[in-house]
Amino acid sequence: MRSALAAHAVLTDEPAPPPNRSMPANTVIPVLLYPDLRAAVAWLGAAFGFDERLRVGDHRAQLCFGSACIVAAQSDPPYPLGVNSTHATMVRVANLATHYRRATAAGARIASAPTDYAFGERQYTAVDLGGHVWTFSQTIADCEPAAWGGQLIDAASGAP
Amino acid sequence: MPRLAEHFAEIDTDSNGQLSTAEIVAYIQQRRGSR
Repeated sequence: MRSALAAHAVLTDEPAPPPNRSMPANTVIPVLLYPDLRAAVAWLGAAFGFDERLRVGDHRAQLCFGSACIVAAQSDPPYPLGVNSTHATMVRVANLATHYRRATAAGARIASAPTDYAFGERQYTAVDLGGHVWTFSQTIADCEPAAWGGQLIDAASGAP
Repeated sequence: MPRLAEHFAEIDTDSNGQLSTAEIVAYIQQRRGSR
């Protein structure tokens, strides 16, 4: 499986993202929204075995399972049309400017233009033809989470 | 999360006068960045 993934990475010509201690190491990262983030973190740990890796204030957390992470984020209801849970997908890319030009040329609806963030990423957000939300992110610095207020969670104790 | 009405024009990226779930999710993603 690992060799098949490596071969595919070569075919897509997309290098692995450089390290940023503030980001999950995986390239494609689901972002799941919950009205009660702390309850969701506890539930995902108890039910599915996710470990909290990083806490961002009271509105985001990175949760790891094996070598990959997801993001759980706070989103207060009410949502439109009675939706009470939703998601986005984050993708780490090597060259955000090139990716942005490609997406706009193909007709992606841009929700936010490329912006630099203090946690070492340059990101833009777009909506695809099916109404799904994507955030594309290029690492521009390797940032220690404490530098922007993030809290790494001790795996043994579960505390910051 | 700020009240949506205060940022309606910013969130309504297709300017159709309605906020879709996708537009709200996108706003949440970009407001403070995603990590």
